[in-house]
Amino acid sequence: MPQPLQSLRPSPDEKLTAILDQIGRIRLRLNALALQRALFTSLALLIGGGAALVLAALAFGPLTFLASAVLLVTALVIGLRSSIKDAWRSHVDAAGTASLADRRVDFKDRLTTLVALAGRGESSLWPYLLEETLTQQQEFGVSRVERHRVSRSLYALLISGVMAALAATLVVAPAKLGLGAKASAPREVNVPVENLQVRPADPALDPGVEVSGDPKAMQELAEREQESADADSNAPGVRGGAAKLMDKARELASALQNKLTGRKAPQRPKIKLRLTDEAKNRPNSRNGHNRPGSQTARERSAENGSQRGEQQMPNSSSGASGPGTESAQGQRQAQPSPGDMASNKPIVEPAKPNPQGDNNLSNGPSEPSPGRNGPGVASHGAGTDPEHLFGRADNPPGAKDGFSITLEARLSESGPAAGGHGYVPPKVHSTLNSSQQPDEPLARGAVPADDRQTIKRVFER
Amino acid sequence: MSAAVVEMPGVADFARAFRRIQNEIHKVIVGHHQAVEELLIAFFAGGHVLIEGVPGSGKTMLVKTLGQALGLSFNRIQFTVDLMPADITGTRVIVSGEDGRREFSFSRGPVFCHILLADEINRATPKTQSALLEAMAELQVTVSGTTYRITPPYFVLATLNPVEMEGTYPLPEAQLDRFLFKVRLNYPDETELTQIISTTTGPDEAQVEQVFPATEAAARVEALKRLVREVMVAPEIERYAALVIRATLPESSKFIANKQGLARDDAVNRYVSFGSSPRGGQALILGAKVCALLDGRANVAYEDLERVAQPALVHRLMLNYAAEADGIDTSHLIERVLKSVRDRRG
Repeated sequence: MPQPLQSLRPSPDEKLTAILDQIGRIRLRLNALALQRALFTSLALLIGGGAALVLAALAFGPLTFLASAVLLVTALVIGLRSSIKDAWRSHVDAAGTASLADRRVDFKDRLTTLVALAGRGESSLWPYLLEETLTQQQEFGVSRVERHRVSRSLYALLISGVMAALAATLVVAPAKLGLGAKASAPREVNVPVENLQVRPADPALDPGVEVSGDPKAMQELAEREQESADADSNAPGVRGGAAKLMDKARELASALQNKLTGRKAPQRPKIKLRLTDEAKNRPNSRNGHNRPGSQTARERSAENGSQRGEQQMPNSSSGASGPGTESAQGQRQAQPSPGDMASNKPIVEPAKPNPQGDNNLSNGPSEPSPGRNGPGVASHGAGTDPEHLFGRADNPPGAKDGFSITLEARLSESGPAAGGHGYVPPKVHSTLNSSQQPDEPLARGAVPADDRQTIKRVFER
Repeated sequence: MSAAVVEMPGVADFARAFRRIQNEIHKVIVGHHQAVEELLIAFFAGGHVLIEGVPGSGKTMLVKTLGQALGLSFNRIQFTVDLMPADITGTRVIVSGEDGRREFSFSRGPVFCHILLADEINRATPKTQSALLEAMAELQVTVSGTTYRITPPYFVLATLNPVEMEGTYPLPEAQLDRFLFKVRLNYPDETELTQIISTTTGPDEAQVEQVFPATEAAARVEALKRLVREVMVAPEIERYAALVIRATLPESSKFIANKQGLARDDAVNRYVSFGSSPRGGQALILGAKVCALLDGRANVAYEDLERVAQPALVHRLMLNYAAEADGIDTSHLIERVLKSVRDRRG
């Protein structure tokens, strides 16, 4: 009974279908791997490139970073293009799969021939080829042709992930530790101010340093400031186009770096120098260099107080319309431009000298005004020796002599700016004394112990 | 003929028959394993073979043994300068009939056989050499306007003596191209030489047995040759053979209209004056088919093509004087061609 036996044996078409099915499965795996490779490689390139960009932003200066960023982006584009192209090339059809399988399992091009000649079957050896191939079906099993289910480019993705984690750590950790500002800010700023006088400003008011000097020094300082401003902003012929482009590139790179690293814009040395004419102040100052400063401080206090709506000392209201206000306006007018900020120059805000050669700061507040600005009252300002806080306001020896110093300003995280709140002097109630002299100190016991410590600390600062 | 009664052999039959013939030949021929195999491949591929070897290397013996092993008729022509075409093909002679009448009758020359040994073919004039052309290509001989068929299988083995080149006539390219393979018989090594001396100087001569019965030998051989033609070749592999042939053509050749896909190999452009003809591609595929059957396959693989590339192409590449001056060997060029095409295939 040969017929039932024959019906059990697969026909040539069934054999061919079985072989082609197996080739189809191999093809599926190969194409899945190609797709995975494209995906993983592209992701690895994107993540790794991004991490490298962040690392470059952390490690390099703006222009070096810009150059490296351009290189990185170019390499990234080329890499993405080639990876996609590579994956597309790895995508195989049935003939390609057969050829690949033949090569990998050394199948002597049987599968290639089968796929190419399937359906033709003209040769008398076709059944032989089918049968021979089918008997060796295990030889070209899917796992033997391609044993990987997941593309090895996953490792590249993992490596790029590690890189990204490293970059993220480097970005986040310094911010948490508060190291970013230190790293980004210039460490030291030297400003030669020659024959100027410097004293600390009222900590209750703006942070910074007040500078006073003779009219000549003031004028020189103002002229230098003006020249610097003119050179930066009003002289297009002086700076070439390349320099401007460099500036713009630097700004762009810097902004990009800040975005990538999460840093804020570099902290500029906010040193505000308020100029006062020491020569004009001298006859009225009890301490030689604190009265004009205290006057200016009061005016600024009044101005700030009017802005904040805070209640200030009664005397400050009269000074609000004085020359000190002009000085403050001048200060606002002389707000630094971005270019100035970028050039890391210390911000010096001189008052403009008047035609007579006088500093405008010397006009109002430093004039003696017994009714409102008597000795002892004014000495509550900044700069007074804590030990002699309420002592007699004597003229210090040598107060008439000018001197010159070099101001070396450093950034500090502690200071008036860090404190946040301005200091409001306590209201001191003292027993009236009919024989109280203007320069006679008040009784120390009237000042509460806590406030005394605060006052002492403030003046020590 | 008895061809009709012979059953179509299978792949295993072919390999078995091939190995048996090979073994019979090696009873007499010591060494030359590759040459013998190439000779048999060409024989079953239906081509003719040019054998190049120094005197005494066993060329004549090889062909004679092949005839004996196959049980086919065998003739030998010693080519000399004064050999005439009619001496090969045969001529019309006047014969007397029984009734006394005289008439012209065609007397068949030695070309009418199954296996013909054209010994030292380059010693005959080109006119005589070309007398073989029709027989080799079309298995027929035309004499005085009458065409006589040669009974297949028909296999011509021509030998060339590479020394004593004086007074010889190098074979024209057209005739060289008609040989499927060129087989080189090199000097035997020490062991082989010792064995040759031992087997040929003793009292006993090696007895070669016929692989096929004498009555059906020709039919069996023809059946095996038909089986060779049945071997399947994927289009990619045919294209690969075409690429190999194209890669042997120098770019400077004026006979090439479309130069796309030509060899980028500098050596080919520098040293080859004429590359392979399309017959080279046919030789590659036919030889590869025999190799596939020998390997028990019904399909040709790339490696089959590369296996027969040397004997199939070595006599088809005409090198120029620069190659001779630089001592460039044709085999070396073929290796470079194969490598370049392999690299392009990826």
